[in-house]
Amino acid sequence: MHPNAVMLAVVFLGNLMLPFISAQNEPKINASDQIILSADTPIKPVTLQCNLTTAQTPHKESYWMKNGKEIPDTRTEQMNTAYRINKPRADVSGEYMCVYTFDMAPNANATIEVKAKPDITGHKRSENKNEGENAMLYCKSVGYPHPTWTWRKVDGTSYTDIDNSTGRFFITNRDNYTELNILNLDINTDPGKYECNATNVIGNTAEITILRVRSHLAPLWPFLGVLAEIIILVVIIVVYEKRKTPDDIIDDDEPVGPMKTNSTNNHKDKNIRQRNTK
Amino acid sequence: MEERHTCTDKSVLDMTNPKPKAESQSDEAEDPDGGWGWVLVGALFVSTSLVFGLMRSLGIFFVEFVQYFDESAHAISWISSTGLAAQQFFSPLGAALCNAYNARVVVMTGGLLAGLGLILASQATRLYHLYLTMGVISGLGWGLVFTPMVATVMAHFTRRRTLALGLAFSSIGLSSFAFNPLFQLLVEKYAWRGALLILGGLSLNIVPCGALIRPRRRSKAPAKVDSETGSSPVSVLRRISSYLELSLLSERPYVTYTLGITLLNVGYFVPYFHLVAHSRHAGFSEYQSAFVMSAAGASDILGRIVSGWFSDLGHFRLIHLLSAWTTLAGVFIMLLPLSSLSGSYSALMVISLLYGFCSGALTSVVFVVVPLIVGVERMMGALGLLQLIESGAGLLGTPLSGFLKDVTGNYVASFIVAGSFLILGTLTMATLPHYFSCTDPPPPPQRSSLDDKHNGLHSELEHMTSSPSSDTNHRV
Repeated sequence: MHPNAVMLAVVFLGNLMLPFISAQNEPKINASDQIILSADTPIKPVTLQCNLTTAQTPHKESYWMKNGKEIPDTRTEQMNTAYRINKPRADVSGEYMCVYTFDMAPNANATIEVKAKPDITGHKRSENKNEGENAMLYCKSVGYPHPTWTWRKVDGTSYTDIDNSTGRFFITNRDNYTELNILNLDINTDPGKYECNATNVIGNTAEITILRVRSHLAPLWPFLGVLAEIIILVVIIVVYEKRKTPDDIIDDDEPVGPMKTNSTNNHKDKNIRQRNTK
Repeated sequence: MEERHTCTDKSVLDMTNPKPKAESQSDEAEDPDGGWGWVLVGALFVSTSLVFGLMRSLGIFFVEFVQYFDESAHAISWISSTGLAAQQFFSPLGAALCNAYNARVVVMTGGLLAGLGLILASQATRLYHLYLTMGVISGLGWGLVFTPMVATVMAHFTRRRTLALGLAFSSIGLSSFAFNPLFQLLVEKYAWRGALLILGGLSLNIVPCGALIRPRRRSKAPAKVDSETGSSPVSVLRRISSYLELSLLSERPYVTYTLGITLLNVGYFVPYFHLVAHSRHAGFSEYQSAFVMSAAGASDILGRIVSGWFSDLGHFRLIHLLSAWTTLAGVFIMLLPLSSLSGSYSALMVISLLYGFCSGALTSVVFVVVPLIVGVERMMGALGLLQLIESGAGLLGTPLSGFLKDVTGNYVASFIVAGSFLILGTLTMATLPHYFSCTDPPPPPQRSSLDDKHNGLHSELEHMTSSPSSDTNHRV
């Protein structure tokens, strides 16, 4: 055969075999399946396992990561590594990775997803604001995968979507957090119950916040009522006193006058005269 | 002593003629004990609750203020400190104005100011507005209300003063029970501005309470004015100092008593501030600690009323009872940290109940001893000065206990020091003249600087006691 053709065949075959060779050089990791935490199953510990099956070079060590951050105290030199979660709650869910490091080769990893229904951990039970002010309702959740948020207004048993025809409602959504801002509160249409709903592939949860709008004039009525009560009381007291004993007042004034004259005999007589006439 | 005289004279009158109305009233003036006085006790009940009960429950607003004004809790707490300091600082002013004019006008004005301060506070846009309105203006109003009303009520009683005061001061504890949930409701429903507005209106209820004060015989004040004619600065100053009763500061019994009460005040408030924190420190839950405080508050109310009733039975001298209650309160304060060291909740609860009872019991008696030392007429000014001087103690006591806690790491030292201050106060009171005798000493002689005819009430009494004999002569 032509020498060029032989070289071409070798290169061609070599190229075909390259994936197999490199595949054989790549370390293989056996990882456990994804885990779905359900609120129904009893809380028993779950274990994530990774097993390094083939590796060209010996690995240095392995560790676990959750959502891109290394979990402390998980570094070990074993080929089989396991991460045990003793109390699986919603906040435990996330994307777990077991990572193997090598001296002469790049790291190898495998991903295990722990999924759970979202759990709303923070929200305001009630929000009281004056009319014209801005209200901020929020909900915080834990759980993976990150939920999609929706806000609804609750009226008894019926749900209505939020009507933003007035352009005062603003919803901001982030992974585990949602915020509903209402500007320039209207005392007629805005008060009521608002529900934030978190939904992911596993399930959904919702929490309700009660929004109350206070009118500016509301405290005036009790205040005027109390003022009226006080004025009535003072009038009653003064009138009662004037009507009861006008002579008392004369009697009370008595000592003041005579004191000035410093003639106590007159004072005594005056008093006696007064008493006799009674 | 006056009572003894009038008792014999009354019997003379009864034998000779039915008592005319004016005389019965004059007898009441010599020996008042009840009648309209009980109405005034009710008025004092309401006023005290609107002054001190309100002050104690302002904490609900402070949470709102911290949020709204974006200031630290420390800056906000200065509002109530200013209010309390103003109330105590202006007490002599209130007393002096009552001596110069009449108590009714002063108390009604004080009520107006107290309400006005809160109403203005509802419009505040900056924090210092609150210091000025809720602190200074309302504090001034409260100062013009409290001392005059207490003095007026005490003037209407002789044998049952302590019971009257005990009943009236029980309002402090009862109202702080009632005001806490009420204020919470108001703040939720109307926001803090609306709630302050309504509270201002409620505070104005002090005005009808003041209106209930009947104008009494103006005894020495007008006489003093007459004896010193002219408006030269010297005579004006002398008049002012006589209204303020500044001469009391040179009398040893009064100064001794005031010093004793001041020492008492250094330690008195420490448990209020630190008991809950100390219980949590000792390992009890939030609910348990709060409950200990509430229990002490309840026994405080009971202590005030029981002490008032018991003191008026007359088995013991008031000063001895005061010393007993103060010493016991001091001992129980010192036992408070030690009881919880053992870890027993029931021990802490028992000691707190006992402490609450004793501390309430002594408050009923504190003011009533004053007229026994200075006489009924100078009581108004004496109370005002007492409030002013004892205010310094409060300023000293709480930071000191906080400092001790920071230095030692727990509350044991603070409580022991606080309790020892109370015992020091008792020892100071033991140096009062006639302390160890079984009967009360005679009230001090009237001031010799003025003509003794000018002592209106006393000379009135002299004339009353001397006139019946001439009266019977006339009739016969």
